[in-house]
Amino acid sequence: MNRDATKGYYGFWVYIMSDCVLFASLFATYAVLHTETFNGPAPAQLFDLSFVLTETLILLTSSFMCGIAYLSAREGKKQLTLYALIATLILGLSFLGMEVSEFGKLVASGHGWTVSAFLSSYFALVGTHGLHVFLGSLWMLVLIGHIALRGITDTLVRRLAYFSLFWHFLDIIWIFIFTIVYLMGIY
Amino acid sequence: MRTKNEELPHGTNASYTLGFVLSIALTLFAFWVAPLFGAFTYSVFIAAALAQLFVQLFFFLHFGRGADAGKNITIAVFTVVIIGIVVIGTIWIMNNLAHLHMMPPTTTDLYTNGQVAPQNELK
Repeated sequence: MNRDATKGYYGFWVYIMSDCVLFASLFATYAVLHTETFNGPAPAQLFDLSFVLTETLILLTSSFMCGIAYLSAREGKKQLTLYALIATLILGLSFLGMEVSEFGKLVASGHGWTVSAFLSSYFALVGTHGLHVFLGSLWMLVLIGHIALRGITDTLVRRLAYFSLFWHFLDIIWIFIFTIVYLMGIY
Repeated sequence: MRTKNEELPHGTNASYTLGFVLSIALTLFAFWVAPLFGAFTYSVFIAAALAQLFVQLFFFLHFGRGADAGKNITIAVFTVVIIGIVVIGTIWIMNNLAHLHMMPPTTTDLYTNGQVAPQNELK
């Protein structure tokens, strides 16, 4: 029995789990430091919850599209895979654009990461998630190129399986950022 | 060597759609309904996030299914233990340190400890 695909899947799962530990330490740092605002504004004065809800819904939809892309690839539907993956990419980039504009606004209004321990831990946590989304977007470009040039191959289906693990994982991390940083920061 | 992609865990259109609808519902629930719970708001936030975690693990990550699922579960349990140690340990020890060292005693603290008598302040 050939175990290639499942071995790679297991290896990628190990990577995802180690990334979980990375985010757990960033969450722990944020939990300890979020009250250390150095007399600056607290989370409640800085964040716009409906803006963040829009980001969350965009990322959830992106995650769903990614699942559809993987499923279509398994069934060998090239066009559908391509469209779903492009939709995933566009939604991912919209999320990233909103996040960058939020960061830009914070820095421009004098609330950059150098201001307080709270803001340092906030930018480290949310920024690391954003960096993952950015790298995932580059990965998607490669996958889209692969489908366009070579069509749906066994290799592509396997890579798409790993990519969908990564993308759904980022969605889960974001749910915890949404809950712990934004919802619990504001209420 | 041909890889057997059939062995990789996967969902169906219906399972992805159900997972998506549940995720959206839990997010909107946390956003609109949870703040109405008063003193329990934080607990409801956490419960909604954990529910969402399991929904996504089940419907999107196909956790615990496919060939070799046992190995994936083993390392996931190990990760949960590590996360527990890191997060709970950090918050616990840092709060203790904050109480012991990072906060200088206030005048009120000194009064209640008997280290400063109130009349000293009045002189």
